[in-house]
Amino acid sequence: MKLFKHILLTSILAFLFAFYFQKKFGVFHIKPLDGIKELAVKPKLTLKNFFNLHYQDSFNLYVKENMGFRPVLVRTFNQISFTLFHTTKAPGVVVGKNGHLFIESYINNYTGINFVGKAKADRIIKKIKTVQDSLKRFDIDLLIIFAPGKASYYPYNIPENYLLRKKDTTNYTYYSEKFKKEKINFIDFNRYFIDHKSSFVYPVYPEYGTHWTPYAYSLAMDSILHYIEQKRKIDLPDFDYSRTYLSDSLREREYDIGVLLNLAKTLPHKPMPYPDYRFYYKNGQTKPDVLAVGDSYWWCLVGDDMPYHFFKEDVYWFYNKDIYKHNVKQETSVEKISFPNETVNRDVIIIMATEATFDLFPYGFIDKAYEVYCLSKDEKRKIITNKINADAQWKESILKKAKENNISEKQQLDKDVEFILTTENTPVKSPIWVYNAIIAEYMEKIKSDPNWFEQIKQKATQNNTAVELQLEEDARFVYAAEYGSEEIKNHLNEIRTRILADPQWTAQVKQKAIEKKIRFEEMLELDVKFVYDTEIKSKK
Amino acid sequence: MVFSSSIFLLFFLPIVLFIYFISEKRYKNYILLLASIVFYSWGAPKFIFVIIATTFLDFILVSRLYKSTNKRARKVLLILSVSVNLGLLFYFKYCNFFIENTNALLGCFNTGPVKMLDVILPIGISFYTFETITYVVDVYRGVHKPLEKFLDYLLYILFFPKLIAGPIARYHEISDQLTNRNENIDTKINGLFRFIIGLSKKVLIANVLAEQADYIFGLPLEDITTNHAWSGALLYTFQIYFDFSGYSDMAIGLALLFGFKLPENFNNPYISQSITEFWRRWHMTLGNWMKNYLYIPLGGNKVNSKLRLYFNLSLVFIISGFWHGAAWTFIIWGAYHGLFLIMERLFLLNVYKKIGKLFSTALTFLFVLIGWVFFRADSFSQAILFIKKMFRFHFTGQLVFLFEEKLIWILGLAFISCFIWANTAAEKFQQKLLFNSPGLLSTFFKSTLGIVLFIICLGSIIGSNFNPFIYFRF
Repeated sequence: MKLFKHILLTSILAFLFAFYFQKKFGVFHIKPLDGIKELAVKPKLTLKNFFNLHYQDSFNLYVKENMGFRPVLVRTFNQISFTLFHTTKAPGVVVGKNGHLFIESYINNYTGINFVGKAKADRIIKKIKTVQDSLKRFDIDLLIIFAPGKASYYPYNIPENYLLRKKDTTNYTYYSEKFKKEKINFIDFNRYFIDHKSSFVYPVYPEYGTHWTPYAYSLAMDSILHYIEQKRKIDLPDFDYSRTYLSDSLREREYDIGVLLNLAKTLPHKPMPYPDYRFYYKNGQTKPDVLAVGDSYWWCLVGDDMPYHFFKEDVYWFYNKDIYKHNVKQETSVEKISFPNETVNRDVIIIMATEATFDLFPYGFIDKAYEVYCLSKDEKRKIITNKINADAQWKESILKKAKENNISEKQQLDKDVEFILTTENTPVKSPIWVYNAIIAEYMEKIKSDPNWFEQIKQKATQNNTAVELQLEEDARFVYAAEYGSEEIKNHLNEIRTRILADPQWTAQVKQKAIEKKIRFEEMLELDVKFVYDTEIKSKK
Repeated sequence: MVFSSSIFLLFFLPIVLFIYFISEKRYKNYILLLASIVFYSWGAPKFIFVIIATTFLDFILVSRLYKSTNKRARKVLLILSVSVNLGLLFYFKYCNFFIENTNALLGCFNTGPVKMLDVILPIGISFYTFETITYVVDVYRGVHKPLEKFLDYLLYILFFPKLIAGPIARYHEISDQLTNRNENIDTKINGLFRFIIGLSKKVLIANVLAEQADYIFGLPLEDITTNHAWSGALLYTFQIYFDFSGYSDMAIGLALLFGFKLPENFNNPYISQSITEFWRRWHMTLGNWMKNYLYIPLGGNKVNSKLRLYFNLSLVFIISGFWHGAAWTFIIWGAYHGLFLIMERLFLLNVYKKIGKLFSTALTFLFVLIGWVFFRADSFSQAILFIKKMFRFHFTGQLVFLFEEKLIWILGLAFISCFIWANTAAEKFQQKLLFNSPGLLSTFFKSTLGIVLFIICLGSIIGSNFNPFIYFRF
């Protein structure tokens, strides 16, 4: 009996050491916890950081996060909590009724807890309307889309303690009402999905996912395409998503909240609908130049390659911060690019928001667009001047340049302001014929090469598209590869500015345009390209 | 370092236990002393020098006191030792309280304020100060002779299981164990089990209740409804019990692992049928200290007049309250309990006898609950407003948002855990479970339950950033 007790106590002591041995030797392979970015590192011990308790705090955290079997313990505890009490410690996750999980921001927007206030909302709505009208003058259609929200779609699954805090006005109710009144181009999928709930064959939301199901966003994409077709009076490529299969193997996106719970076992779930997409192109169909700005709901469409098949380019500004092209994050970001140049040549600009981010909508895009497209030159000059004056380093560089150029500080400031105004704040649209003139050169170049043209024809067959469309796409690709980099675009912009700033040169371009019987803008683009090619050649 | 942290459970404790168990008997005290120094230094690296220095001074003074035959000299040494210890406590803990109140008074006379001191409260100072006083007083009274070795005395003061938050082990209760203690496998198993029970009380009950209690007490006063007020008071009542008794269980359990038997600190206080009984069950070591080192020297029950008796009771409880913290809310809490003790002596005990066990338990619980509002509140005005809201009885339908499923279960468990021991059979079972030498079945049961609870607690600790300890700040 005594021996048994001694063995027991020794075993328990050994058990306490097991955590250290697992950390040190990694005897068992254990899947790390989900949602953890970086684990704390072991701190360096110095007298100073020991006496000011920094070492102890860091070491405590290091042990807590790095101890062996941590994922097992956390998952075990989480599973017990979830099974017994339907509760979770995952930050921002709400365990709803009927097994549904929510991200708290959805519920906060649904209940109106984070309503931005009427004054702010009115300011935003007014700006959107002004931007919409201004963009239309450049033949750009602005389209606001509200994606459906899980909280709005399943309000009966929201826990009571949240529903008790529901207010009369929410971001969604206020914006959607006002958008309709102000005749803002608006697609309200939130309302649409709620109203047609009984007609849906498949689930619109997964129980344990944040985003809409592929079935739901296929329906939405179909509607977006029809809207653009009607608005722009064009015919877009078609797609068929009627072949939908249900699968028990959920993709990551359909279980992204479930994963945050870090449970010991996967939660039992309904099968999710995954359409088998088919894309069709006919002669005469066109792919508009569409820029999408929004939260992760648009990303679902990007993830399934939809924008790529329907639009000229798959360009997506995630929260108006990061730039994604064909689902690849670009090195540059929205704040570093030329906003007018990146927007002025679009046909459609979509801003998509979801219930979770109505309080962040429209992500700063409208403010920037308002500045670029709606303000007068004097107002823009004032904004740029204020920006420079508020930046000590920038002011310093102005002073330095003024001394180098032997002019007054005010003169240098005015010069810099004008430069920024012209290059960064003045949208200059390359009309479609200008762009086509350059692309047409490339298309001719490809056609004149039999091998290359043969490859184009084969590609068109593979992609089930018209030869002319494939030819144009490849020509665009080649042009973008040669002239599409930021560096080259900036160089082209600089040349364009140089020409426009020189009255004699501008007059020469006008004269040439008259002689060639083409538009001034077309001649300007051809000359810009010519000057660039010449300068590059001479450097080589 | 707190007991309910991963660094203590998986780093410090296994290493100390391992080294202790494999060492020869003559080295065990040194190992414990070194571990205790590391334990304290981890949380308060600067103050370890202060505590060692004052402990050394005490040791010298008490040695001299013991050797001295001169009555006057002995008294002087006693006063000197007590003054040094209380002086330190006063400086670190109470100085700024008195400066703040002095400044409030000076403000009435438009006089400039006295500058506040830039001091940080050393952790556990209230506890070890009282223990040093027991050492000098017990030696003075001839209850026990002093320790021969300074390192043994230092171990008594710094012994890490009880250093931060008690129990307050009076010198004579522990003195013999320092040099000769009974270590056997049964005490170790009981100790381990007790430790895990304490850990579970703290992590699985107290922490859960604390989150919601803190939320309610943190609400703006204008947003607090009657629902909030009663819920907050109830949650805190259970939180403080499970937090403090959990810590005490851990301390007692750890001490048993090293062969020390510390005094019990709690005895199911919420089944008390009077405040008098409550203080025989709640923080018993503080109560015993107050009785033996303050109340009895003031005359205790053997004073000539009832007025003097009530004065003594009031003073002891006010000081008890003040001991908990340098704020008026603690003083008022102490006075509140003192008042009930007086009322019970006057008439309230007779009332309890008449209304029966159930109602007197309920009533006592209610009085204690109201008292905790003062203890928890950040200010006197907050406490008063809270209590006003409680007794406005303006209940709304909004209880539901406060009590999510987990909280209801834990609150239910807390309630049962506190009151089930009112049943004699249940109480006997509790005694058997915690104190008897375990048989085969009992050992198996304790170890299985212990491991399961330990794993759950560890999972909670590692997965959470919320792990407050109330009595830590004393």
